[in-house]
Amino acid sequence: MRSPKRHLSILLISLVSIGMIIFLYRYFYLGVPLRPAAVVDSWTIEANLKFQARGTPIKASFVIPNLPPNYATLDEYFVSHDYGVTTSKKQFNRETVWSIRRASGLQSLYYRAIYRKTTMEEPLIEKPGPIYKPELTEAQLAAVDSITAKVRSTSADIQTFAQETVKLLSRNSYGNAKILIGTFSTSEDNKASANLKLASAAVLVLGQVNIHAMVVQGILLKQQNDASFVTYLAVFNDKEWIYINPETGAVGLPDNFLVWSWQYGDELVYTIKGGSRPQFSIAVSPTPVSALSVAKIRGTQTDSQLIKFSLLQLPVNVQQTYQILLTIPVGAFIILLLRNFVGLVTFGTFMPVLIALAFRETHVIWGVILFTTIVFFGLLVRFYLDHLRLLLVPRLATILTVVILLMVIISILSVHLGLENGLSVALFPMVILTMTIERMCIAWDERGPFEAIKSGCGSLLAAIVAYEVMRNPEIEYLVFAFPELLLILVALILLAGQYRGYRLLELMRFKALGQGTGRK
Amino acid sequence: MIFRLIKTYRYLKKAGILSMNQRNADLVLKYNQRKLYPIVDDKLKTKRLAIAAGIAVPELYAVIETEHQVQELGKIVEPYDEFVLKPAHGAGGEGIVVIAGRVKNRFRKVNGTLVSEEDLAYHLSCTLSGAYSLGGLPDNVLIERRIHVDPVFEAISYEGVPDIRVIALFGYPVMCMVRLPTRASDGKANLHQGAIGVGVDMATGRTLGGVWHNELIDHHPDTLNPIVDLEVPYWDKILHLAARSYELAGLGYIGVDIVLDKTQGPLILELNARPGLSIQIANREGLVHRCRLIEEQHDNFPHASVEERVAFSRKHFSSLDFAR
Repeated sequence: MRSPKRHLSILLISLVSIGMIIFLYRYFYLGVPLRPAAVVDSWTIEANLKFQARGTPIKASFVIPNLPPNYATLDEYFVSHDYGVTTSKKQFNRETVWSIRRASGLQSLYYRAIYRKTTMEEPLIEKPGPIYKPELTEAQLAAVDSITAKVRSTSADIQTFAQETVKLLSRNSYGNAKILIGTFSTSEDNKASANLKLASAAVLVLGQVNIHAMVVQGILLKQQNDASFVTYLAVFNDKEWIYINPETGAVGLPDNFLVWSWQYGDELVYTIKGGSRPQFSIAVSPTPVSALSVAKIRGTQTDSQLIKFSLLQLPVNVQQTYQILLTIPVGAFIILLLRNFVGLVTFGTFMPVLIALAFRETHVIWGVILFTTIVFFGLLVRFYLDHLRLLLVPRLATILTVVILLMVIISILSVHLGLENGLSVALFPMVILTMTIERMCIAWDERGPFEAIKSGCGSLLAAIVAYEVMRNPEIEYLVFAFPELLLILVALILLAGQYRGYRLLELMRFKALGQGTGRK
Repeated sequence: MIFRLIKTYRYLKKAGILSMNQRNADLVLKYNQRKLYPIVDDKLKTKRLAIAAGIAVPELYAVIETEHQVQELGKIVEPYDEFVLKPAHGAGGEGIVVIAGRVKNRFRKVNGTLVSEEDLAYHLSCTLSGAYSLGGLPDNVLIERRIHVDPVFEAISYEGVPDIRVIALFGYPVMCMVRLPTRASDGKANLHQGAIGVGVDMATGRTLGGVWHNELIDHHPDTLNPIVDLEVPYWDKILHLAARSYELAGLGYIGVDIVLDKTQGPLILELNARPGLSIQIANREGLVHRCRLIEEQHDNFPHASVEERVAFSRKHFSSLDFAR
């Protein structure tokens, strides 16, 4: 009594591993969530550039985020009247350029994007650009030399060197610092621009001693209508970028920091040719996005065919159909367990699964009531038809018609009684009901009412169990979001099919053979 | 509760009780080729093959294949006072009608009820359109000679015909039981319909003890005659018939249903490619160990003759060694 074990185990292992690989890939890489209600932290960012136009050609541009660390774009779009829009790479940033031949009055250009938090830090600029070494005046050079000499004595490596430089530059009373910071002439005079100037000065100093350094501007993601840029100093320590707060000298970016632009100095993030009185503002608002739609968008953004192969790309109504269809294998698995492990007797192998599908609309109690009613009256008709000596096909056709009429009557009656649940009876598979009635009747005649009712109850019980499992929203969601799990289910089914032991009810059946006789 | 179930499970496993799952996977699926099923599922085919092979079967009077023949039923059965109507694809004894005689122009069934020719014709039409066949496929009806029960069994059966079920693996008789109809089984010899199963010792052909509705009994519930330690007549012939059915059908694992006729002796009634498990209860012994032994023997001697196989079974499968 051997079986092709080796072949089967190879098949099982490959099914499980293929299923698991796709599943893990989609879960970790695409971020398809495990639970239906999962919500991903995401933010809508709206950058707005306003300016006055005077009927001349206009070319406006501003920097937009380019693969910022810790965040990923879900969606982005550009809003403007009649402007041509292009986005292009400019140094380390992305820049969007808006152009129009003629415009007048107040112009308003929008960049709107949804960013979601990701767990992985995608490398933004892997290699630093050339070291920033502009021509300096003698006074500036002297200041730089004096600062570097001071810092060198109190620092150990690139990071501490940068930190010390920032500390030194931020000392208000220090003359050399004033010379360097004075180079940057941002008009505004607030803390944000002070930080920007300080960071730009630090880049200048660090460049002179051959350290890769850049100014990073970004915004803090929290509900705010007029977000201002926050400046960080980024230093490359030959391995990775280190971010230093110019105000405190502390290392590291805050969690909710969205990097907007990389630059060497205190350049503005926008430029306008042909317009005047520009105003640039950024608004941030939290936008909870369902994790599934995040996964869907991620799917469309990737090029890999494997990832594109997803039910989420189907039209919505087809998706809903599959949401139901994909639970059928789960129901079939339950029937397998009930039949081969418990030993439940049912009419037809998978009839209970179809009844369970009908229960989705009627719910269990109503479903059982409707099912029993129809089968009961159907059986009465079937017994009556026995007297007419009809042949098989006309008999089945008659029962089918009666079943449909019964369904109509139940629906009409329930409307009059104000019971809406009765309407859902129409979802019962009537051919299945007809066959159930016929088989039950034959079983009744030949094996007696007890056996017939036993099988009927077995079918109903199996349907209820299958329904309870199939309608579980998490299971429904899992097989829909990860259809590859069905491969693992197939493996489980194959494995369960190897079961050669006794069914639960067989243990009862063979009881007489067991302890009772005392033989052997 | 769970502990007791596990205990029962272990006990059954140790006793080598064959489970439904194991029967399906390790015997039926493995040794019975699907393409050979029609031979046993179609009683007409079985019968024709058996006749060709010289194996004793109940005499075939006629075959009804069309509605037209149904109309001529009266003419077809005219020469016979007693006969049996049997669907060629029927399962579990369903759809079988036994006519024991005539009263004027009506037919008398074995249980004494009278049926008209139209009643029979309706029954035949139902059968032809598949009412009793698996899957509702169109069917044929066999009209056969009625079996007269051997007197040994007459005392311990109620109406109906008792039959002898022998399970054979590769033509080695494995286990045997006598199935006795009762009032509850309506003359049918199927255990789930209420017939009694009586285990038979393979070596001697003596009955061991009965099981009725999964309970052990020693007397027939209707006639009250003892059913234990009776000798099944023609025992050697019965085992030979069962052994030869392997060459007949080519199926490795089959149940052979044999009836004992008063005048003609043992006759093969039908073959079953998926014999049930109740025989184990009737014999109070499992099939697994016996099947293992036969598998081993078959591997070593794949071309053993009928005599050798019967001798092997009689030698190795005596239940009396363990009995009482």
